[in-house]
Amino acid sequence: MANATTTTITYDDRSVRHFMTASVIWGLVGMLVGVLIATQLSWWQMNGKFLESISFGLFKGEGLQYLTFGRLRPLHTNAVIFAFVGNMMFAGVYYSTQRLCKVRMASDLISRIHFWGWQMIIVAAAITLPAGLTRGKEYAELIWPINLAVAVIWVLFAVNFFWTLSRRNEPSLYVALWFYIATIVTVTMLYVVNHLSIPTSLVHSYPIFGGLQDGLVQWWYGHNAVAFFLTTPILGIMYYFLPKAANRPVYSYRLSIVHFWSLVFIYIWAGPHHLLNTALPRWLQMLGMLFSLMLWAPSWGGMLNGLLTLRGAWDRLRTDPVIKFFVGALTFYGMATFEGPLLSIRAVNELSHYTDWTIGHVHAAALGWNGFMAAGMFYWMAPRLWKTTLWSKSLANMHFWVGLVGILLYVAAMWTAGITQGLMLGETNPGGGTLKYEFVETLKAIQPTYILRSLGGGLYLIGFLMCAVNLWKTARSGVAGDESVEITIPESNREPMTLGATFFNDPVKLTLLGLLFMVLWIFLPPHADKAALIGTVIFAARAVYVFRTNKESWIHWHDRLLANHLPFTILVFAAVAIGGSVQIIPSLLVNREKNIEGRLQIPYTPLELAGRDIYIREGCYNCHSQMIRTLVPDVMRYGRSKVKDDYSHLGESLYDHPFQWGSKRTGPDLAHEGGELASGSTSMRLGKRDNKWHWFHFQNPRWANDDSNMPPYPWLYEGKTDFASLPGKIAVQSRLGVPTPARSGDAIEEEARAQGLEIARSLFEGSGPVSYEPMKGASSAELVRRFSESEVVAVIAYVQKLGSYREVHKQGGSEPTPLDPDSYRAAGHPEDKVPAGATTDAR
Amino acid sequence: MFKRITQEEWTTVVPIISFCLLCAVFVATTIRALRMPRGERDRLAALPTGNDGEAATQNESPLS
Repeated sequence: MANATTTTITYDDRSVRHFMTASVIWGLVGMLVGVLIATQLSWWQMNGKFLESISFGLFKGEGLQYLTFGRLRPLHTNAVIFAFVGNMMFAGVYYSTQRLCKVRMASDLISRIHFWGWQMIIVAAAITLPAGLTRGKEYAELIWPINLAVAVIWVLFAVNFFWTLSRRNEPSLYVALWFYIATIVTVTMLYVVNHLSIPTSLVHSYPIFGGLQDGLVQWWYGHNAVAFFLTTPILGIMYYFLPKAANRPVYSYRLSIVHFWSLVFIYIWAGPHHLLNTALPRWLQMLGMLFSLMLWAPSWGGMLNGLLTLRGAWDRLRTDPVIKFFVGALTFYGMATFEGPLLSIRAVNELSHYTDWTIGHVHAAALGWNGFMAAGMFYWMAPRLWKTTLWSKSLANMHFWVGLVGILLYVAAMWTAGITQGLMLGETNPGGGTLKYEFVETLKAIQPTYILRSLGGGLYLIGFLMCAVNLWKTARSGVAGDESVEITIPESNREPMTLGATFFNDPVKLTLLGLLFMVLWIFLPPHADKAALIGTVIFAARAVYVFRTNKESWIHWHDRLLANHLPFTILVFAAVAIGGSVQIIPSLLVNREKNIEGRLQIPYTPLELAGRDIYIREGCYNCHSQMIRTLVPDVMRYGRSKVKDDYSHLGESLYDHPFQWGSKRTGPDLAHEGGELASGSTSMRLGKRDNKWHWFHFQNPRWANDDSNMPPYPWLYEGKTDFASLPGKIAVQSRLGVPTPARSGDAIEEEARAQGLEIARSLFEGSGPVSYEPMKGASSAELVRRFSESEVVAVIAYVQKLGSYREVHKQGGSEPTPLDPDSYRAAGHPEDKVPAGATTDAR
Repeated sequence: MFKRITQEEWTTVVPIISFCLLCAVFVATTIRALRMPRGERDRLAALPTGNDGEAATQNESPLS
């Protein structure tokens, strides 16, 4: 036994109080915006027109661009994820890390910079997102200068955290710290890769990945933002705060180890389940589905470890609101992590994807798991941080029940909406030749559930308001103070671990070899792949045998690892980096123009590109997908009548920076909305609907259909297209590999203006010209001149281009390509030879 | 009516019926709880949870 000395530590609880307060404030903002946008789906007037009523006529207009669903939905998601949960996570991490390491945070200065920097980022997001400054990728919308700020502040947080670990007075890392390490390492990797962009101005950039590759990287990031921002840090918080609140040790330490390593390794592979039945190569879809199903085990292992920690303390569920919230949160965690893999089964996903079922799933996790964990942690910490007692236990209980009813109403309403809409969209008339319902009919059918969703969200917001009041009163009744404790510092007898010892040992060696053969099984050609599979089985069996015969050395190795945070961190990085590398790197190498056979996208003209940027600015991707899945109902509904197999092919969006496949259809898919060049024109295209239809539709979507819930876009008629920025944007597109013809800046601008004129003429000249009320009496020449430069014409140009492609055929057909398992499958089964991503359903 | 539900418009009707059934269970339970005599409500609220510690202290478990 080592000799011990004692010392007094004063923890930095001020930062914890700051983060907790910020989390509550931003939580209220994020939830309020969520309720507002929920009402927008029921009443289009909530997109700004309602201001006419509440401002007593000061505001006049059909809508306000800063308040549309397309711009506010990213604000809602970013506020809830990064502001509410982010600040809550930091509060939990700062509080527990200091106590688990028995040391104050390494640098007060870095803690302050971290706090204020993070809040400034949130304020910047709250300004830029409603202003339409966005990258157009879900949960990654913030513009590049803010991305850089996020990276700097996150790195500072990491420095402070690891510096604290290195100064710890507790030799071994507790399980909560493992999850924090995984969070820091993985979020850094995901954020950097998914935000790689080339700026075109101070507020705009194009992501370096395009089309399928962008989709794959985006959902690798998007899915794992859920995993490593909304799950792993909260699991760490659960592992610290639940045993504290229950006054019981965690149920099973060994289960914690299995839970941790399996969760961080498996989660990262599951991203492609967001792209099932799309143009994503089939092998990636299968990998995404299989790893999602595997996630059932670690997720439920973690939930059970949490719930069983309460053994012997279940009676506290009746009396202690903290336990009540934690149990509620874990139950929702279990439910959401059961539902997630279920939705990742391709057959289930056919029905659920692009519907509100996914929205219900996400909110079960966000409101139930994250929101209730946050509430439980706040109620536990507040009396300790302000050295008092909770102001009102009954108000906390009331919060629980109001919040719970709110979640259940919300989730059940969204399940109903999603399943109803999914079923209706797939229904055909007797004989199966035509679809039974128009899209808007399905939207009308789910309107009652949309209203119930707003009600459920409203209840949850009220509950959280109760929490805010309770915490405020608690703080006011006490005195803020930092906790001081006397601790015993054991004399250091840490066994250091070299890099060699980290990797060259049985557990790591056998795991890596097994994984290597598993990857070879995926990529090797037929027969060689079977040998690789046998290799995987052999190494798995060997690992089991060695563990059984040499268990003590494995345990000793892991114990040593827990005393050495850097080797531990390196292994965590290896665990999370493998999945992403296996999925993304082959795709970056294979899914490129040179390997495309069949449809290849025709790049946008300058005006179409300008229109696309406006489309992204308005957040149209929040409601309209651009991905006709390889499913019969999708092709029947969104395909072009004279085009065979008209699902979205891989090559059709190859040059889209960013991709716009979307994740939810509140409106119809637009992938094939465009069409051929108009007769006699070199640039103007006409798709499923003519230019005039789009003109009236953007002005008033109810003109096209009474039941549409799309907001009007009057500002597109007033705004002017930014022609001056086009040369710079096209230069960046060219650098990214988009085959744009070489021309001068003047020529680009001239080309854009010429196309604008042609579209404007089609609107204002000839038979049945459109009119514009504010310019009543103006000549058609004036109108043409004015609107040829307008944003609405640019957007029309873009929409009419969607889905345009040329056919590319390779002599002798395509050969099996290394790193493309689908091509081996197609070579082995010529009858199955359909373009990447296609299923037999589409033939 | 039956044909409409089972064949013609089942996609719109069945999910709504499921939702209404789910809500009905919650509403019925809530009404029952609210109308329950206070003594009965307190008794149900204090049902043993099967914890060793609780059983030892309250000695209410029918199995003890």
